[in-house]
Amino acid sequence: MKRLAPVIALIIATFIAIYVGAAPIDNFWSSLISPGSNDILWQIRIPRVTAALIVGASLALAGLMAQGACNNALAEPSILGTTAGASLGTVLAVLTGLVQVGSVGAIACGALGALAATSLTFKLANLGSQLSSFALIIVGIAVSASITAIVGLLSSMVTRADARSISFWNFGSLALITRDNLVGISITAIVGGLIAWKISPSLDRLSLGDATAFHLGVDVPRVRLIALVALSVLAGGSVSTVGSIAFIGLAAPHIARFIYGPTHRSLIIHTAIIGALLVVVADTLSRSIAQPNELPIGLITSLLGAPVLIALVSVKNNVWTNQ
Amino acid sequence: MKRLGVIALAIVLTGCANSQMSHNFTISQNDVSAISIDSTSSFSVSRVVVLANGVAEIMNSLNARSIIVGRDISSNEKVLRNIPIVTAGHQVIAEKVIAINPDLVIIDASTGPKAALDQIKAAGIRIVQTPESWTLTDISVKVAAVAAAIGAPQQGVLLNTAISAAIETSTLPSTPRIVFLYLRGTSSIYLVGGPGSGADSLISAIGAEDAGAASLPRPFNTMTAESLATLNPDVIIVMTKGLQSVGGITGLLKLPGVAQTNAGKNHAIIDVDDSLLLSFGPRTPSLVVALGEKVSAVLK
Amino acid sequence: MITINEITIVRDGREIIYDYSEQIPAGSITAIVGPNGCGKSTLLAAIAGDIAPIKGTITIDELHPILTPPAQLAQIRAVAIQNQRYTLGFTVKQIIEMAGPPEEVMRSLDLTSLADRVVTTLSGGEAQRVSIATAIAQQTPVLLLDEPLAAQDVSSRQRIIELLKKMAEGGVTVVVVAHSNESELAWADKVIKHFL
Repeated sequence: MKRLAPVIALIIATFIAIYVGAAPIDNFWSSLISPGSNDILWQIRIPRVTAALIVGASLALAGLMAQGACNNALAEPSILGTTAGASLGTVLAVLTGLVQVGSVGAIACGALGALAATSLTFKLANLGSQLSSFALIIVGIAVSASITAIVGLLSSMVTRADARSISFWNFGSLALITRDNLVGISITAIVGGLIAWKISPSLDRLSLGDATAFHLGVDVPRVRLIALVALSVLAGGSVSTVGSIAFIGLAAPHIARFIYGPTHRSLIIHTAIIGALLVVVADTLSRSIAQPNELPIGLITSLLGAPVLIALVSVKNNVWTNQ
Repeated sequence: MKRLGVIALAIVLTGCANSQMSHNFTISQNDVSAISIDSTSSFSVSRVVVLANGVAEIMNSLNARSIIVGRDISSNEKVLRNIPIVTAGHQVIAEKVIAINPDLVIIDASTGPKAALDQIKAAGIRIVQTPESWTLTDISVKVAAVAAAIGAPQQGVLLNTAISAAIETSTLPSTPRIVFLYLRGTSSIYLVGGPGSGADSLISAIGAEDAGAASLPRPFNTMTAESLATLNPDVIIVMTKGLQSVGGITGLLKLPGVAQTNAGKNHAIIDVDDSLLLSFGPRTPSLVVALGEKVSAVLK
Repeated sequence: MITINEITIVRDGREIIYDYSEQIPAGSITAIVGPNGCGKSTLLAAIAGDIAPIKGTITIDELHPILTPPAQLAQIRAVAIQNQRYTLGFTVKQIIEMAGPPEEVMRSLDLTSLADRVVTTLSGGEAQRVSIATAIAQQTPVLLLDEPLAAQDVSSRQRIIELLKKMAEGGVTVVVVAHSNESELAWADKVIKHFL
């Protein structure tokens, strides 16, 4: 029953998300079964909920890749500098007039920025051939903070139409999602998911330490690089479209591991489900709690995610004992 | 073949580019004119610095332009071009005002900083505060106050008569629902005008219904995509700079919520010069006429 | 056959091994012994392909481990390191399965009863046995073990030694690093003591 709970919760949460909203929908049930019948439902709400599901899954998978690649429980896209890099890549591309926010081009630039920032973190943190967890986190936080500051500066200095606000980049928002956005983030989710599927067995072995993984036949630097690429594509796609939503990359893999165990291949679908669940719940809350205002979704995910994580740590069944 | 690929890539990358749709429904300063009176009079002052929004315009209509010797940045009518600006942005610079040696400084409730005004007072210069005008009915009060301040109350009466005669309630064939959106491009939420925004006053003057004023609580309300789509206005009015800040018509229509309204579907968007829309004064009757015309045109 | 040809290995600026040559025959058990810090684990690591000598060569049946891609190398040699740590909650069976078929080796090392235990809950000795089992399950012609008997009780040691003997008889080249306190090294066909 524990294993089925997230799926059931996701189905219920998705349904509630589509049902709840600022606008009253006449004939909700008949509108739901005929696509395109109600503008608000089909052009605003359903695309938004769909985006929440896809972004949640992507960010969760990104977190799984980060934790697997670094063999570290605290790794996640924001700590490694990935989300900051994605924001910067997108903002720069938008400011130079090359692309528009939410377009495929923006996503490509976001992914490149994500990859650049994450690589920088890894380069700076690497002491010899060993990946020191401590160094990785400290350097990651520093890189993240610096890049986030630059994004803030650029956002406040420039008044270009769709550069979005600092609040958007730091806390995320699904308020501006339209149907067109769904294509880009679906592609990054699928590509990232496929890469994750391919390297899952290697990530299992990586958890035994770099030396043992190598002995078992894993090309450790290459697998790590591929995991970084997957991480960048997943995080880049999400962040460049909806800004950076905190905690999902950190919490979702841990929750999934707690319920389903550590095998990466099985974790892919389960982490995605839990990530989607968290984001769709957070988004529904963000647009219902303080009507007519919308609260930034990142605030809500932090409020939701933190207690969950603390609860996990205190339970004895913890499957990750990191020394 | 490779060339096609590069072009295709470029198109994809620019997200199908920024095509600006042609847009006729703009009201600029050139589209309106100010009501003024011909008769002249003597005034009790001869050197006036105007630091209140819209007062220079009123003085111009009272035929008192010649006594204005200094203005603030919001008094940007063409006829005032040669008069020196004595503010830095919206902040008053006391030294500049004192240096001009005025015998009257006109301010309103939003003039500041207070320290600068205190300095001016300390220099022995008379300061008079006039009321602001946020609705059509406020105009006559403001005109009378300005006229009194410069010692020409008769001129004020004449101007008010001319203005109220010029405000014709427009005759629109139907009563369209109109919404005023205050846009700032870098935020992901926009403000909808409600009761007391000022726009509601104009909208009812042309015989339309301000949908925001009808159902929302405050003069300016944050709005979400779904709420705007539910309000479903037939016409949307915005300020010109505000429209630019979201990327023009194209950008505005991309905002979720806008595209789902009648106004969005029919591209029924009217943009009005920023300094014109919410400043109620001698140009307002002309603005009402222009607005009525544009609304009829945009609904065709 | 493992051929070590005039190798010099430097670590942290120190010369750990200098101009060393050796031949390790196939189908036998070779023990490398010596006091702590003398470089036994370093030598094992060099054979495994983990570190490269700055001079000289090591070959396993004409193949240079240091030049061989990881996947191919894993089919030739398997390693059980000294202090294997487990961070994720895999079961014993899942860990061994990462290397190869688990049933037989689990039986030989008395791990069948622990098959579904989460590895993070194992004692030091049990974890070491899992590490050895994983290396054996890889079914490679060369088996390298770093102090495999250190945390084991007497019956466990016997078991492991018996298993290694059987593998050597089957043609596997077994190289074991053992502490020089080992009083009983009779199970080894060859003992390497001085190689600095």
